[in-house]
Amino acid sequence: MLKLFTPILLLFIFSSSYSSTISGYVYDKNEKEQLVGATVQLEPGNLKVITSLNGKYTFNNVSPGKYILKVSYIGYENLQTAIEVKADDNLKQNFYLVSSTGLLKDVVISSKGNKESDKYAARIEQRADNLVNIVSANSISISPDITVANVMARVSGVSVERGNTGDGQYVIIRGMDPRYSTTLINGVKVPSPDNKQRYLPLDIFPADLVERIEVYKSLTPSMEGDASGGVVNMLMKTAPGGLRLEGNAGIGYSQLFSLRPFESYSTSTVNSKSPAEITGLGIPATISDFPYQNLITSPIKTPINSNFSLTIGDRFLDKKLGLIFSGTYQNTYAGNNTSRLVENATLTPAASPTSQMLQVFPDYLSRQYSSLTGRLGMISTVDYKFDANNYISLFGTYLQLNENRERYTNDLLLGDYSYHGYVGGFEQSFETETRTSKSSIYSLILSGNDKIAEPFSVDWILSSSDAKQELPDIAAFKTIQGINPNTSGTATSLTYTPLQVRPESRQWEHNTDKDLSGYINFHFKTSISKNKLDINFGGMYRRKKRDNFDNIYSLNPIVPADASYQEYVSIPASQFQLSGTGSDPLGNAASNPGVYTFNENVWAAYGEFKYFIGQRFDIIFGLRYENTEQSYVSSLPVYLPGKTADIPYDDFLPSINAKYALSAKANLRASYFKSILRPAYADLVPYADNTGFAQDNFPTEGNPNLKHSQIDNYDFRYEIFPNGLDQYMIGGFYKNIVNPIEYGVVTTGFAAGYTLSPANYGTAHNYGIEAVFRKYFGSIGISGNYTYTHSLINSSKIFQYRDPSDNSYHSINVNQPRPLQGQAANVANVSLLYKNAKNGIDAQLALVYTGERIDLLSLYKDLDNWERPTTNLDFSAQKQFNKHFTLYIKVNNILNTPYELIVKQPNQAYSGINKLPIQESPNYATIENDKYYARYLMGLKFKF
Amino acid sequence: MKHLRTIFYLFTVVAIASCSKKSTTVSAPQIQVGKAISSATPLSGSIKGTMLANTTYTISGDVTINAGDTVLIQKGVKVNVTNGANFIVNGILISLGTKDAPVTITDPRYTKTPGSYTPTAAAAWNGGWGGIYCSTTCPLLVIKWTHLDFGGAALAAPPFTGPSTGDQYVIYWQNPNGLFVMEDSWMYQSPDDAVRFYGGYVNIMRNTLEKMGGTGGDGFNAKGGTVGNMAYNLIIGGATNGTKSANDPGTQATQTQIAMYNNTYVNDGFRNTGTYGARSGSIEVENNSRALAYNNLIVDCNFGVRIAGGNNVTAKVYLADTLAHTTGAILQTAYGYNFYYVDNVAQANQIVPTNIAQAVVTHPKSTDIPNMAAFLGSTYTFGFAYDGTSLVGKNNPMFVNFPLPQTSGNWITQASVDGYDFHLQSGSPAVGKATQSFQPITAGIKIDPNFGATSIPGPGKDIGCYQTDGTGNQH
Repeated sequence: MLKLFTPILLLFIFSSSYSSTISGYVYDKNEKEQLVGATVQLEPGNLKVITSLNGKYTFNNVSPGKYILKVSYIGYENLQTAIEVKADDNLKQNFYLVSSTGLLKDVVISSKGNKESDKYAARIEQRADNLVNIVSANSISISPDITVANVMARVSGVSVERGNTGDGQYVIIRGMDPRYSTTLINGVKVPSPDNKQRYLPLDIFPADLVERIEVYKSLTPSMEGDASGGVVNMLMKTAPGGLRLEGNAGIGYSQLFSLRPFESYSTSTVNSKSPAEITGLGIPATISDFPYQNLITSPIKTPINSNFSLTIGDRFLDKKLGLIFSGTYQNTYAGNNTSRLVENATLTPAASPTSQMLQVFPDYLSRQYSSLTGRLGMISTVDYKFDANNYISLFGTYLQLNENRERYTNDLLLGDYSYHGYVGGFEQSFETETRTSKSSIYSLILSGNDKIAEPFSVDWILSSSDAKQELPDIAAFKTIQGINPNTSGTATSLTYTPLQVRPESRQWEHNTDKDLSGYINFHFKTSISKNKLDINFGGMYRRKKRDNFDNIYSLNPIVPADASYQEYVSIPASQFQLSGTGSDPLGNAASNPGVYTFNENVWAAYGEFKYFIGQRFDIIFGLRYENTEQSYVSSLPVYLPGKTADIPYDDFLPSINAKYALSAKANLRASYFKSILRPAYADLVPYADNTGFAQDNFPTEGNPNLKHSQIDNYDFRYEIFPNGLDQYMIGGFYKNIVNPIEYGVVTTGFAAGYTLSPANYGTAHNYGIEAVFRKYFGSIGISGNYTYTHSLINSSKIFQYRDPSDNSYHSINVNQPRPLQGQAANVANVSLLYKNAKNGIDAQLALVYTGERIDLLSLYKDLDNWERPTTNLDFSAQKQFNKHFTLYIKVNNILNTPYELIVKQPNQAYSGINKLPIQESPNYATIENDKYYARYLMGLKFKF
Repeated sequence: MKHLRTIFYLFTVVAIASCSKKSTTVSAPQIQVGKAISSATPLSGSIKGTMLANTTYTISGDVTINAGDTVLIQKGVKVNVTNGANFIVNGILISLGTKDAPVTITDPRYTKTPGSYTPTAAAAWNGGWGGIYCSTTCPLLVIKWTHLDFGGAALAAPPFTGPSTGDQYVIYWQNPNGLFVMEDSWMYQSPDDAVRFYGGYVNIMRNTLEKMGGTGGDGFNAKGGTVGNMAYNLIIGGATNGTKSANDPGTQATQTQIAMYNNTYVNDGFRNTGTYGARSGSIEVENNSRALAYNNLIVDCNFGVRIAGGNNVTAKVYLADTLAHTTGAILQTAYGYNFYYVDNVAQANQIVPTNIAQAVVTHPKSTDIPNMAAFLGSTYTFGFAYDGTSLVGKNNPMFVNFPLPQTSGNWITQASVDGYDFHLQSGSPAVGKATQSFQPITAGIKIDPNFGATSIPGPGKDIGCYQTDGTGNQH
């Protein structure tokens, strides 16, 4: 890595010292804030400099004489002044620019100013009515991230759950599980293509399409009440003030594939629908419905990633009609190497009431993932401004994430095998699984804003969104063989029995989620004893319809008459049949927990008052009412309870947000709001899902009696914006979660079985502190944030033990306190920034630390799976050559940070005869270690 | 001399014949519960009442016996089950066949095929009709003198919370407080475990199991919390184990405790192709369960009595409970007086199972035939391989009609009784070698000619399921 850094570091080193200099700062006249990126021109000579991060400009080595200094900055009136420079002079000249647009106020609809800048972002943070963190497009484009999910990991109080390519997928805001947060596009909630959850996988959003990301951590009455962790609002690019053409093209490489080839497969024979959907449910499939071609993999030695984006925008008809189109395509070869110890579902009892049960690991899995993702994103906006007060806008987006994933698994069955000195596996299996997934989100948003008559205005949104996911033909081909030590004395060598063909599984899964929604907001401006009062009221309505489908077939190998198994030759040569009349040839769609339809209608109304007391004190308070009606129909047999359910509920959600300006640069904020959490769709459907039981999953079952959670949120924050982009914030929060939804052990009427099921666990308390800082020293900046979150919940666990006094056996349920699932107590980000307007170099070294957190809950006391703390380091740099071209480089995962899961128990597998791979401590058992390796991307950006 | 012997035999025959003449046979009353179930149309949906004697019924879709309802099947009833249908028992099911007029529940598409068995080539190996699925509200299941043939079609949907879609059991039992009695019955060919228990009290006696498990699956597989007896059963050609006890998932306060005695296991454990290594033979005791294994006759099985070990690091199957207890139906796992006959070295090398795949804690017993404690000697390293060559073909149990030694490989393919007779000849070395120094489990097992166990016979004098005094298995 050092080799790569050296030339870049060299670029950083620049210094010069001349005798006569002119320097100073450029400020906004009203706000007295330094302006970054303003152009300062010295004439004659036509020397130009750009103000740095703290608004400073410097001309060195200026000959004595008379000059004119001109300052220009987008959105501000130009300014110029005459100066005279003497020999060996060190002249100081500051400029105070007047904004040409007046105060920038409404976030969404204002089109002037460079909304994609950090500056703009910080300013909104300062002025916003509630707690908000903003990531600007500038931050995104210079950061090492190509998807929104990766960007999110750098926001204060946000951590990210990663998918199997190492890219982030879901956000955890202030340590709360992803389901506590919502995602909006241009202020509209969009449905998720996920098959179980409501929340969106954020890696579907290419960062290039986004103008700005706002993360709201407190809610006002005008916002939907189901975001207790936070709201991620992605504001997509809007039409510029004039012609704009920009884009980028880049190529990249994943280091993983210097170690092993990428395994690809052809999707040409993948049927988009399962046989039963093509020929009709109840008609048996034939073996020819399952072509083998998509199981044939072929290696690609040096796969090159590519990345394109293009944005064209302009404004016509007297600047009234704005148009923008932005498209991006990313083709990424990613993957990881995974080592995993399989946890046994049944365990031996603890040795005594005070001992710990011990997790055992009968299998060791080595997996190699090869994942080709194609990310297509398109947005287009047409807006028409009738006049300054009335406009209408039509926004459309299509986002698509296709993933062709090949997974190769070697499963070594250990099973406590030791024989004549040999300790190791006695059976191994090999599995090739190919999985084609297609997720997409399509959304059309029509919005408008009318000032009906001073002081009365209205804005409205109509939106239709479809989210879709298809997993056609998840195919898994498996072989198995025995391993025998070769002796009756001391084992010295091994014999492997011939490979047998095992049953093959083929699965089709798809789900759609359609939303129709409308929002309307009325605004009325008045005043009470010279204090401004804004009255807002309005409502929203959304109809959601979700369809889930899942169908699994099992193909049995044909066993030759003279043998007890089919010997493996090759995948094409393997012979299968569909046996019997049951679910093998029919598929299991008729009785599959993954098949259901779900409807949800939500309507809401709110009223809020925004009261400005003097210059310093703002307060927003009000009440929101939300009515929810949910219903589902599952494929559960009619004779079982819970095949269908209707679940209505009402919520009254008061909130109050107060901001007190201690000075022009410092605010004190406090807020209270009440919010809710609606259970995930799959959490309600009470169908036992035993898929993978005894491998690494416990059976799960939904719970239609699940109550939605109600959360009281208290926030307090002190923030200071000393100058320029510098800022400091410190805050505290407390959340009281009534009826939190967490998974725990239930026995669901079946006396013998354990099931993990979602349930409401009393009341959880969640509190923490959050600190953010950003400070620039000329060209160098450092920014960081840290969040500490404490949460506590009691959930039921099974504890089985033997009483040594009489050898009696006991199985009891105990309450065990633990943090909320997915919650890391410590999350920190630090970024080192270098920004030199003179040589056009921007660079960022970004570090993200996420503390340990619970990944998966165990049925048993003390045996939850914890994710080890991770420290991710990413680097990015760009060099601007002229107004039009910028070269960039991004390096992700420099430290090759593994994803590791552990079980906190004395580690008997650390050393000795039962030593297992991937162990690193005698104090805990490492059960998973995934390595993603570094990823490089370089390219050229252009802008006209 | 020769004549004298002949006369002696004649006297003996006369004596026995006159003895049997002395016992009177009084016909049992034929009982009926509720109304008669009509055989006019195929049955599906909820049913209750009585299936009348010697009537043929058709079940064309799942039938449900609701909680509180009873279905009684009288002698001689034939039930043809089509479409892979199941009995879903939330109430009570009683099937009362008799020796002369047994009940038959079968899939009419299939007929029994004698001779060599290759499961994947057999017509019904993946199951014909479904099974009898008993929920936690089923207090009583009684199966007497009943043929359960060609069951085990995969469940298309779970009938209640517990079983999963795709389960292929012929009988599934999960009421920890209920009683399940199975006597004098037959099960023929199934794809997975013939009977899967999760808790409850059981008395499984004098049954004959043939071709159980396709390419894996046990005969009687007792899981967490099951307590009772498995005795006098003949289990031939099972894929994995004949009888098994395990305490997983272990939610019940009671541990699994099974007394397995006087069973005859023939040709078991050769079709467990999914998993290599052990866990497939005759008797398996594992996962914190307690068991007694006495007086069993084990002929040409893949493994002898396996008492599973298991460390705390990589075990898939963990340690059987071999500790001494002060309470329970079985105070401590114990075994012995088991009789082995083997036809090849591989089998001989596993009479005392070695750690061929998973750890085993079976101790060689001096009461076993052959005397394995003496054979292995005091220097034997526990779990290690030994050379059993000299045990091959020894201790022929002298079945009335079953050729031993078998031709090579016959133990893999001969999976049904067919015309053979596994009674012991009078001169068999297994006769009179059994121990009677333990008691069967009686706790929780109601004695009743119709609504419980007919009786709970204790250990027999002879090893195996057929007793030379005419008791034991009646088939």
